[in-house]
Amino acid sequence: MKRSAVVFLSVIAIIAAFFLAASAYRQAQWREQQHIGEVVSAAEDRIVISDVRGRERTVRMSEQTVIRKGRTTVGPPEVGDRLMVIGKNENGSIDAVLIRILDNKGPLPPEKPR
Amino acid sequence: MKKYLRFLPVVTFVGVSLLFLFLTPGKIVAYIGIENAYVLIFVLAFLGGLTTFSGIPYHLVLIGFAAGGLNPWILGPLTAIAVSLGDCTSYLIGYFGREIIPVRLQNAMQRLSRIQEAHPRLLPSVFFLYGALVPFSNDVITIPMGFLKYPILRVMIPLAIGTTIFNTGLALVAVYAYDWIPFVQLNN
Repeated sequence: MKRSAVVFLSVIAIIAAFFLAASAYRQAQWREQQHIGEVVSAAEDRIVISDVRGRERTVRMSEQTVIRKGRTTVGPPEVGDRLMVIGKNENGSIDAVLIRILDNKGPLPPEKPR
Repeated sequence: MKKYLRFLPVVTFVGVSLLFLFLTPGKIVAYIGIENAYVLIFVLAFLGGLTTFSGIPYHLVLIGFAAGGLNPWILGPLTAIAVSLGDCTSYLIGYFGREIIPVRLQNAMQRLSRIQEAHPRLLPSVFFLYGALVPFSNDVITIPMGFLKYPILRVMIPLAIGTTIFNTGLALVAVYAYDWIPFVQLNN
């Protein structure tokens, strides 16, 4: 095989290896940080969200937590809000970096599994 | 100048992928100012298809949204359409990127065309099965097919149908079999 082809394939292999490693890192990051559910109870600095299986998680909010609805920054979420939380799970509760409140429009979720 | 312009699509593609590598999930979700959950996941899946490897692992987002209470029968087709639209860019990278590939490699890859000519129905079936069964990036299919100038619709339609089946299955698993299947479980 010509030298140019070997160099080309080597460069492609290095780029592919880099992106595969980056992909593994990104997957771990998203797996750890994304939480989606509905608010079942709300207090001043924390809320409890529940997913479709009824599993509940506590989300801690601080002054640094950004809460968005669409493009606007809003106040703390209320019971019944569906939301996406980005934050790390520390000792069983999530330290929220970002809370995105989603609307409840659209097709209803399926019947809850037993 | 023209000599360097041929690198533009590939450099843009790698550049966008690198850009997403340095954006945290929080920043990406904050930037997308969308309130509707279905539109939000459509955009996230589109960006996941637009970037290669380092972008948004949309399968995980899909699992999260399905487990979070969205309808899996809607999520599957919706994310498949979005990611297929995003994957069209990687087809174009292969299509326009062939000029930067050494001639010997071009000749080697051209042999694939002969298989396609001998068995015209084989490749669409392979694309469908790949989309329906293999959880890896569709770029593995779209870039080489772009390189071979295989008709885009014959690549994307079977791939999108296969991806719809895979994504719907994954969303249903996230709702009904989450506790039994470790690979879909999120650390939360």
